[in-house]
Amino acid sequence: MRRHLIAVLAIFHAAAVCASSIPSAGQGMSRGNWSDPTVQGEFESWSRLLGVQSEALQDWTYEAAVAVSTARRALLVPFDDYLDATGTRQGWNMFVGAHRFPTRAEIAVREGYTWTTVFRERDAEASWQAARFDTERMRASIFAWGWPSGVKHWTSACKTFAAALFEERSGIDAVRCQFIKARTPTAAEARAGTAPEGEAVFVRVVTRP
Amino acid sequence: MIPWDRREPAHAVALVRVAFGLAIAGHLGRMWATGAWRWIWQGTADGGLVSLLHTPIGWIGGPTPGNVEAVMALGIASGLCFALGLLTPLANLALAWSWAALTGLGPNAGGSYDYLGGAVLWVLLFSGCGGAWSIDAAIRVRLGRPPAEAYAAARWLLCWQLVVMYDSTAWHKLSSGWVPWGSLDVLWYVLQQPTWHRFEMSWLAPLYPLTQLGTLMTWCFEHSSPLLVLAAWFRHTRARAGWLRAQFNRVDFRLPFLAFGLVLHVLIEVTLEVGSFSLFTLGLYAACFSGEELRRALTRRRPA
Repeated sequence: MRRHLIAVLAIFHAAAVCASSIPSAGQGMSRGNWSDPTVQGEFESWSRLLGVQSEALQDWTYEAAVAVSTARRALLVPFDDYLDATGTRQGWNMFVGAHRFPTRAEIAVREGYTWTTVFRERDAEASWQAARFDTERMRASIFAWGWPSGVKHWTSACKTFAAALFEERSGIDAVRCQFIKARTPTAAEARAGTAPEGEAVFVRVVTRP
Repeated sequence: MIPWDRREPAHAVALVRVAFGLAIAGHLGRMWATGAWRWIWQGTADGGLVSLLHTPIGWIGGPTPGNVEAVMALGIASGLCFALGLLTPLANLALAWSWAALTGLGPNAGGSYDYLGGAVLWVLLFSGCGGAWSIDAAIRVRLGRPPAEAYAAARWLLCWQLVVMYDSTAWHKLSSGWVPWGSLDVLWYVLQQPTWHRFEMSWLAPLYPLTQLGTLMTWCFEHSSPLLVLAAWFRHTRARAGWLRAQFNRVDFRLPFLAFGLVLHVLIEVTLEVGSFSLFTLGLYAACFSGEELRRALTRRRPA
């Protein structure tokens, strides 16, 4: 009896883990994110490899992703309660592609008419609260907020950064949070010492109340 | 017939226990020391950055500053007790609960190591992982009782978890930069990304072909992971007949596979900052060997 009980539990657990690990598109289902040049570049690469039009491939991919997500949800129904109760849900979408247009977070403060950058991701020269920003959880957050689907969180976070900076520095009257989005140099460009220009995106400015 | 209730020396699951206990205690300690928890695990009303999600911390009144600090303290203390094997099942339960209560709070503020931590702690709860290299085991010996053994089924589930993780992440890698017939440039781009790299890495440009080789080898490594559990099973049942089993047992496939994985994760740790993921994963490698194998290997190396 004991052996059978262990067998049933072990098989159920193994099946639940397996079903939960079926790839899901996750935030990739947000078509707003598809406007990002990294995603568009990915579709262009695949359309060249497959010899199809990029637009047709995008429509087909979206339909396929919806179908897979629907099937995945149905498959998970018997396991959902178990996965939630035991904390054994799976999520293995790690470094799924080459992010050719990554973002770099920046926070600047305005004193009079002068903007000064107080934080830039991984920059020792602009290192306000760098210890916090450098933790893996903050870096994961900032990575997600640099996509269109993460903007509302970025806006919310900027208010907290601004409140902290206003409290710390009495002379400043505004805080600006933005991402610099730039194409990563190819290896050839890096060898030549050239770096593509970036542009500021998701710019949020909070003025002192 | 699979011997579901078979017991074995607890050394393999004990190693997994030590790795996860220390890694989680260290991770929570860093969150505490840097104050990052105030941004990530607090609601906006308390100085956090974004609205939080629901987790088991709701059972004790939600993520108030006092509650989050208490749960972090519980997580650190139970992580250390778990690693030491002191009141192991209780420490395991407290650690699993703390991990679940904290890691799900911040939307986007986590990684795959959150899933791995939750999944592994749950299985360890039923494994008997306190039976070796633990204060609990030392107390048993002092009381004149035989060492407690672990459930082999739990170790097999941990090995399965490792394979599922590698294989699933491989199937997520559908980018044209990952597949062998594509540009194989993912590693180059990942290493240039300020969010993840440990230091500026444009100096790698002359070695670009090596990053392409690394991309290809990583993709092949992850896709071949189901062979790991098969190899472990063939090793376990090597007395049985069968051509495929015999071929697999000519060399122990687990050793080159896990050696490659070790190099891969060390390189990840050196070049990228991806949290506790590599430590967790390497800790799980111990589950690919039976308790007897680990005990034999350690006994062989012990000086006379």
